[in-house]
Amino acid sequence: MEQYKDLRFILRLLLAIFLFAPLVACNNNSGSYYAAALGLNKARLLVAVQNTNSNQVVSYDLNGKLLGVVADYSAIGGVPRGISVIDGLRFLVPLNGLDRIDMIQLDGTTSIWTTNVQYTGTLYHSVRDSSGNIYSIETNTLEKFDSSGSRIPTTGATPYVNTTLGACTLAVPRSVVINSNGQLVVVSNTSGAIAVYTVTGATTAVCVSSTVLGAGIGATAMIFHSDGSLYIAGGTNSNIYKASATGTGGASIFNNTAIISAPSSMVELPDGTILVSSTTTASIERINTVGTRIGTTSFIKDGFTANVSAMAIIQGQ
Amino acid sequence: MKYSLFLLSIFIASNALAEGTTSSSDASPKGVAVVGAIGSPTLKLSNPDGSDVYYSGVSLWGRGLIPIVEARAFRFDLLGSLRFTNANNKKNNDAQKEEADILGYGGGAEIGLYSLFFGLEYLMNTGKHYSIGAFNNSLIYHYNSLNYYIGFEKRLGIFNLGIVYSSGSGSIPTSETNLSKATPVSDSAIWLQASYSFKKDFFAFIADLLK
Repeated sequence: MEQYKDLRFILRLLLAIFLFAPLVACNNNSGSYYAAALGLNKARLLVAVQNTNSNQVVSYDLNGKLLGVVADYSAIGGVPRGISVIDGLRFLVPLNGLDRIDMIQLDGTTSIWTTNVQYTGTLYHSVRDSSGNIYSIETNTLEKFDSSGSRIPTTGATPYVNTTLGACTLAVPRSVVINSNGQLVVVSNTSGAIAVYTVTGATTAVCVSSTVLGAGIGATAMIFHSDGSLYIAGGTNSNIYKASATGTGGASIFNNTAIISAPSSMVELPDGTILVSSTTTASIERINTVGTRIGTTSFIKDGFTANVSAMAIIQGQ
Repeated sequence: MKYSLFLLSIFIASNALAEGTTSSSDASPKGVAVVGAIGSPTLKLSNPDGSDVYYSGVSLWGRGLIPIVEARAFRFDLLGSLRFTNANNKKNNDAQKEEADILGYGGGAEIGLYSLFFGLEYLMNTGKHYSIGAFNNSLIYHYNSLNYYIGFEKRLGIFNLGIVYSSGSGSIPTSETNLSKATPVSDSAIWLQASYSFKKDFFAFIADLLK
């Protein structure tokens, strides 16, 4: 038997490998991708585009380099009109024409986040509060959905923010933000009014104040900046305004239609500068908070920037 | 994993008891040795959001052993180590693929007892990831890891054949990835290894090299 000793050993070795290898590799196959390997460690600019026959959400890096089309609704007629970021991978987009809000992942995966029989009007911008509630502009009202997509209130046709609440009246609202007080701030296109609401009520918002920035400005976009101010874009007169967190004391900081004309959306970059989509020039321009353009050329000017409806920054993981 | 270790330990122990003390070749000094191994690793990383990322692939591992103490049934070696892993994300599909290459080098120590051996090594690693699909990106990072291993081998003259289980862990710092949290890394592998013993102590080995 001595001459078979090595053979016996080798057979034992192979048996050990046979038995042991599957145990080492027993981890499940589901898992995920490494965020840093996919480039999800870097913030991205998301741009919603509403060109005829080209309704898409496109991503860029923060230098304005095109990364790709994240979602394309051209074939099914949905017009993306807002972007509310959930986390480093997912965001919500109200789709005008489809009357629904979709959840989109950066890898292009889309799913219907919510629909509702009361959610059938003209959709514009939306905002997500710190609790995950979504406030979405619908014609002359705002609908509220909780973090799971359930409408608030759950019954009845009256929306959470109705057209008239106290001193606040919505007249073609176009953009909505949450300010540092946790208040909902809505700017109307027709009236140029900035309405401020508290949103602690179970079934309805409560009007705090309403300030008219300018009746003829045709407000189309608004951001709440990290400096504590509101910045509002006048889509008709092409001015960019700066106002207090509640909309008072508004004043123009930028007016040069050769650079920004018919602005349609805005977003704050991590360095505090502001991107403004300019419809007439078919570009995205970058200005600072005192109204000085950054650089001498457009931040982005390509086939996707002709008719931008919304922009957002999705932070890296 | 504990269950796996338990099974291997039982197997190694039974094998060592059965054969470890009976071979005359086992008793001769091993001296300086080089070891080459091929392994089947499972690598796990964790994202800041808590999701885990699994990879599997192939690893190559080379070790140089310098004997410090070598008795009939016991040896203590210092070692230099070089390890390369090529692994694919287990979630890979037609829409997204991610591949990782990790090269590590470092040193440690190994203890041999009859046919059993145990080692501990500290590796400095460079990882490269490539993503193709919905996300096209590449990433290079550095991190350090501490690895242990346990195995047994059969001496066949100056050549040895063995099986090894290794496990290691480390952390990729945020400065390397720009992620919001450091990335925990752990790996385990089973290896088939072959080694060559020069049958000389370190100084005799060096003297021969310089002749």
